[in-house]
Amino acid sequence: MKILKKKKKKAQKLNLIPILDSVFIFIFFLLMSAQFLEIYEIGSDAPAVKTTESIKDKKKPLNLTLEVYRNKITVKTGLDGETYKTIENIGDRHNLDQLNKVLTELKQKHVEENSIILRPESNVKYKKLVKIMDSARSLDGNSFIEGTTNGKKIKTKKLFDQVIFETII
Amino acid sequence: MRLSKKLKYKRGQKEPMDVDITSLLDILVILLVFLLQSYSASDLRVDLVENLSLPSSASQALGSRTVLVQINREEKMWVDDKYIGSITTRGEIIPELSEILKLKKAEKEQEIEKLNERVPSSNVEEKALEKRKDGLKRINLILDEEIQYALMRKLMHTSAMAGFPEFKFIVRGSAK
Repeated sequence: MKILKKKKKKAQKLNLIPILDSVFIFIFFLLMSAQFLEIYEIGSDAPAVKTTESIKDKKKPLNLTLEVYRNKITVKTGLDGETYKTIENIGDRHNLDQLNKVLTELKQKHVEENSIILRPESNVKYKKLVKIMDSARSLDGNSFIEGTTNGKKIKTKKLFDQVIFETII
Repeated sequence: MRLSKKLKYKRGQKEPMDVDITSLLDILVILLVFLLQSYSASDLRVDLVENLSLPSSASQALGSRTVLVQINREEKMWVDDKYIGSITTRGEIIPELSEILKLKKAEKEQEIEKLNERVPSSNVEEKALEKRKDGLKRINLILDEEIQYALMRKLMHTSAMAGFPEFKFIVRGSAK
C-alpha cells in the first residue's frame, strides 16, 4: 500500500531584491531634491512706464499706495494720493491686523485691482516690509472676497498681490 | 564520522545563510517618508552665506533658478555664491554689482540666442526655452532681515538698471 504523505510545504520567501533596488534609487532621487530649509519667494516688479492712446475705462484707478514709516502706515488712494487711513503702531510693531482689515475693505470695493505701491521710509527694516507685504497680499483666515470683473464673477483669497516699490528707477 | 563531517564543512558545502533584512527595510521606509516630506519641486538651490538670516513669510510661492544676489548683515555681497565685496557707495547704484549683473545679463541673452538658433525637437524643449526667456528679467534677492530699505532700494535700482526688473525676494516659510 502506498501511503500518501502530506508534505508540509515550506513557506516561500518573497524576493525583495527588486523592490529594494527601486527604493534605493528613489532615496537617491529624493536626497538630491530635498530641501531642508523651506524657502519661498515674494515677487515684486520695478515700476514700468506705459503709454496708452485713449482711456477706455471711465472708472478712476485705485492707485493704492502704502507709505510705511517706523511708527505708522498711511494708506493712500487715488491719483491725488488722498489719505484713506492712517494706521498707528501698537508698541513698536505695525498694526498688521488693522492694515489687513483696511485693505480687505478696499479690495471689496475694487475687486479688479491687484497692485499695491509701497513707499517705505529709508530706515524701515526688510523683515517689517516682508510682514507688510504678507498682510497686503492675502486675506487672513479662510475668508474669500466675491465680486465681478468684466462681467465675470470671481471669488478670491488674494488682496493686492502685485507689489511695486516706488522710487526704484 | 566526525572527521568526515569536518571535511565537508571545510569544503564549503554548508547551506547558504539567510540575512534578516527586516530592520534595514524599516530604516529605509522611515528615510523614505522623511525625504518625501522634505521634497521640493523647485529648482532653486540656496547656500546661505555667513551672517544672513532670512525673514519669515506666509508666502507659498516656489522660487526658480536665476541670478542670485545675497547681502548679509555686514552689507557684504555675493552673486551666484561668488563674493563681490562690501557696499560702500553712497550713490543710488552699486557699481561693482552693476558691472557683474550686466555681464550676467549678456551671458543669459547669448545663451538664449544660441538656443533660439536650434530648432526645438520636442514640446519639452520648446517649453524649457520659453521658461528661460521668462526668467531673463528675473533676479533672486536674498537679504538679511535686518537690512534697511535704503540699501534695498539701491539694490533694486542697480538690478533694474542692469536689466533685471523682476525682483524675487527669497524668504523663509512660516507655518500659519
